[in-house]
Amino acid sequence: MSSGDRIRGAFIGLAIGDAAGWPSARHRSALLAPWSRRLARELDGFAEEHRVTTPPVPFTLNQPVEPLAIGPSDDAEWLAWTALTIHEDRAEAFGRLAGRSDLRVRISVRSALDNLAAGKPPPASGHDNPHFFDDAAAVRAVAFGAIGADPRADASVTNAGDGVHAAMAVAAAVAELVAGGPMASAVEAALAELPEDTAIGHATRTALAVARKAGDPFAAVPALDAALLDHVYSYGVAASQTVAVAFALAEVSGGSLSAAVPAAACLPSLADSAPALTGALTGAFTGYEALPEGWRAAARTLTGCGLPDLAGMDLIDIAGGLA
Amino acid sequence: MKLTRARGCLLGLAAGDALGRPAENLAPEEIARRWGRLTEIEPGMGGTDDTEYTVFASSLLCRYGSAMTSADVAREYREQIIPNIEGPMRGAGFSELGAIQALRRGIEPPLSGLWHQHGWSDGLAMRAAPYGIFAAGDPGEAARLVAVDGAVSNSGEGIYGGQAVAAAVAVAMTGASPDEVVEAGIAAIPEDSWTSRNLRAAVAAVTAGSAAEPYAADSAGKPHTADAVAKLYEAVVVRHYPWTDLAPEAVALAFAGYLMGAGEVEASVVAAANLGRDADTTAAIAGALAGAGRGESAVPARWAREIGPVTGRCLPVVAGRHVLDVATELVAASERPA
Repeated sequence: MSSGDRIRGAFIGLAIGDAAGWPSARHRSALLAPWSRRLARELDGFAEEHRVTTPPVPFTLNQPVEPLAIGPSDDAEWLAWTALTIHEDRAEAFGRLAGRSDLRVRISVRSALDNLAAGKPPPASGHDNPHFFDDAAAVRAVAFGAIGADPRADASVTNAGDGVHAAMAVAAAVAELVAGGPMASAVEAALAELPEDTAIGHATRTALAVARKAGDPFAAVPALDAALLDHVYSYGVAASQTVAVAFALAEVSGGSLSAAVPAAACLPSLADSAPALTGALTGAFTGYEALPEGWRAAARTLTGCGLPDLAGMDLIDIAGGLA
Repeated sequence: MKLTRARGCLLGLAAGDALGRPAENLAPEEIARRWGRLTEIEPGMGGTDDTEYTVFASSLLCRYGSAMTSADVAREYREQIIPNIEGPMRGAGFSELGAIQALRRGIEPPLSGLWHQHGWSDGLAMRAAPYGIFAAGDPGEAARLVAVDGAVSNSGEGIYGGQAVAAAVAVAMTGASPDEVVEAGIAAIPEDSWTSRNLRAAVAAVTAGSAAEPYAADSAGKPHTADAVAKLYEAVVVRHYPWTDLAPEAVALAFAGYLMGAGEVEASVVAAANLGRDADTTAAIAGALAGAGRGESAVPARWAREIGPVTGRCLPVVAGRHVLDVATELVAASERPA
């Protein structure tokens, strides 16, 4: 297997995980007319008011149905954007996005773009940021790992602390896998980037321990929920949780995307990005050709639901640009 | 003098908490629409978690004094707070809830303050004033002590927010000018921090505003110009984030209110409350700073009448305690030989 196949595996693996998590349909519904999403929000209120347990799902009325088919969303688009701009100065690349009103981005990225627009450069743009701890940079770090490059300058635009540690860990692991290393060495490389006295360092070691004890990815789901998730905070994209789960499931699955990604998708609060990160690690391990064919086909085409410029682009071509 | 400043500090804090309470999470425009200018405490409603956690922090200081450790604080959480939570935990901020979940897992400080996502919350800043009273005149010691408490529930900017408030109160307790008080708060935290950058930006925004159109130093009724508020918001408010309890933002708005009010209790508290966002906390901090500077008698009598013993709605363990008694005990504790 070539490193190029592993890079494609990391990219498409991430997109498969992105597509497998329930929030993907929510992100992709951004492509529908605003009134359609407003109706969906009203149905949520209706369900509450009338005490019906059938929750509304993203739907279309008099609109194209394609956006709601299974497919990738924000994480795959950010990985693609990173690959396409990877040789540019990171503050400059992000600077072009600052001030644009047509993007849909994570809270960390939104705050960082505001900081850049206000003249606050990195690393303050990622540090003076309510979601400095999220996994936006960890997702982008898959591209840096693919070419064996340091993700710190990129990560520092949008994140700090655990958010940057997470990016370092993901890039180190992906680099190890793309070079043909086993999952155990990838996990070891990641842990070397995660100090024990940080939340992400503690959580990742805890997650690995409980998953090993459970023995397989699906069996590990309740144990990961109990060990990591307090359900106190409103957004489930903290790198200390999603990255920890991704490494634990990637390892305990023996690198099997088909086993690890569905387990990650079973943690609803982390389903926005933990499946994507899990898919990147396992896809980098097995390579593209080993991934399930139907998923490969469903995950490769970007819709531009977060970054409109990427609509219609083929993630395999973009990954090929790095190989 | 120390006693009246201490009592003014905690009474000002409680009054700010109570005044700001209905304005929490509202935009300044919405506050103006509802009240014109919010100047009166809702009768019979009292304060919130800001006052109750301040009473709790005071009790820690009275018990442990300057020898207090983070392990002591964690043990007090486990013995005094956690066993009294029946069903929902009311009125606490994310950082306290997150820390309690961490403590329940057996995680110890400082990891308990890192484990959850709200390390930067203003939950420490809201209860930092007693540390400034206890270490009156010694901002460095106030900042050291408040961080001992903060390591249980907060991290990073959340600790800095608490340190800025504690140090500023310690200096306000000497009767220093508002400029000196704010300067002491900024000096207590790393220059390369979000909180420091925001505090300096808030000072600049408020100073620029007063040059163009002077702020009313003693009239609580005079609204600040919408333009000045907009500048302050642009400088320190995170626009695309729904939660308002970010310490770098809340402490900056609180200090801005204090400067807008020129350190007078009523003007400072009203200015902070009418800025919205985490209005109960920001007005409480502004009230603590101004009350420490001006003393108990400077707190409007109509506000003082509304401040009774706390109900324990948020923290059952402090039910029945009055901030004025707590302030008196704090001063006595601070004068005991170490």
